[in-house]
Amino acid sequence: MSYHLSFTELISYDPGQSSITVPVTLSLSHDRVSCGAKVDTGASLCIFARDLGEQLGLEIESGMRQLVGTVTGTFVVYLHEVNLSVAGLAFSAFVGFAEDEGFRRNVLGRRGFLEQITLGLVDYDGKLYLNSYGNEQT
Amino acid sequence: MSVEIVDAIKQQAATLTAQEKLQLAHYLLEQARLDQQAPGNKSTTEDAQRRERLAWLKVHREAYGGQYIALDGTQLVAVGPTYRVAREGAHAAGKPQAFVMYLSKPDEVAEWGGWG
Repeated sequence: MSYHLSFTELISYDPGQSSITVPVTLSLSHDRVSCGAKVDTGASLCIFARDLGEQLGLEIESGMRQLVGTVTGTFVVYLHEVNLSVAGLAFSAFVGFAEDEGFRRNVLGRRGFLEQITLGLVDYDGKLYLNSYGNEQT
Repeated sequence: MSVEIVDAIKQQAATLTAQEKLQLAHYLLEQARLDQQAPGNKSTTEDAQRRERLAWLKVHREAYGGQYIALDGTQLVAVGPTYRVAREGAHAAGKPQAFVMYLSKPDEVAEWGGWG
C-alpha cells in the first residue's frame, strides 16, 4: 500500500544545520516581524522571543500566562493571537512570547501551527512540504 | 468636523432638488462605506477583536481549559477534545471562519520539545 498527500508549499532548508529552521513572519494590524523558527513536533506551542512580540506592539504580560516545561525546569510565556505566515500559508494562531528577555529561540510547535497544516518532511534532501489542512487536492 | 459645518451643509442641501438630494445621499453613503473599509479602521477592528477574545479566554479558562474551542468573535460556537472536532463543530454551526484554538487549563504546563 502507498499513501499520497499533496502540498502547495515547499521550503528548502539546510540539512547540514542542527535543526529544521524555516522563515516565519508574525504580523498584527500595523506591524510585522520576520524571524527563523525551528519546526518542533515535540513542542506543544509556538513560542517566540519576547522582542519579536514587542516589535509587534504587544504588551507581553497582558497575554495569557502559560508555564512551559523543559527537561531541566520551566519557563513562562504569554500567549497572544497573531497572524502567522510560513511560506505561502497564513493563519491566525495563539502563540507564546517568552517572559525572559534572554530567551532567543523561536519554535513552531503543534498548537497554532502543526494542527493547521499537512506536513511532509524529507530531511535527506532538506525539503519541507506544507499545505493548509483541508486544502489538499484529490 | 464642527457642528457648524454640518449645519451649513444641511442648509445648502435643503435647497437641492429631490434628485440631487438622492445623489448626495448616495455619495455620502458610499464615502462612509469606504471610510469603514479603510485599512486603519479594519486594523482597529481586528485589534479590538483580539483584545476582546483574549479577555474572553482569560475569563473562561477555568470552564473550558483543556479543550479546543471555536470562537466567532467572542461567541463560543464549538468545543471539542481535538482541533478537528472543534473545527468541524464550527463548520456545522455555520461559522467556518471561527478562530479555533486549544485553551490550556490555568495550571497546565505545556511541553517544550527536544532537550531545550
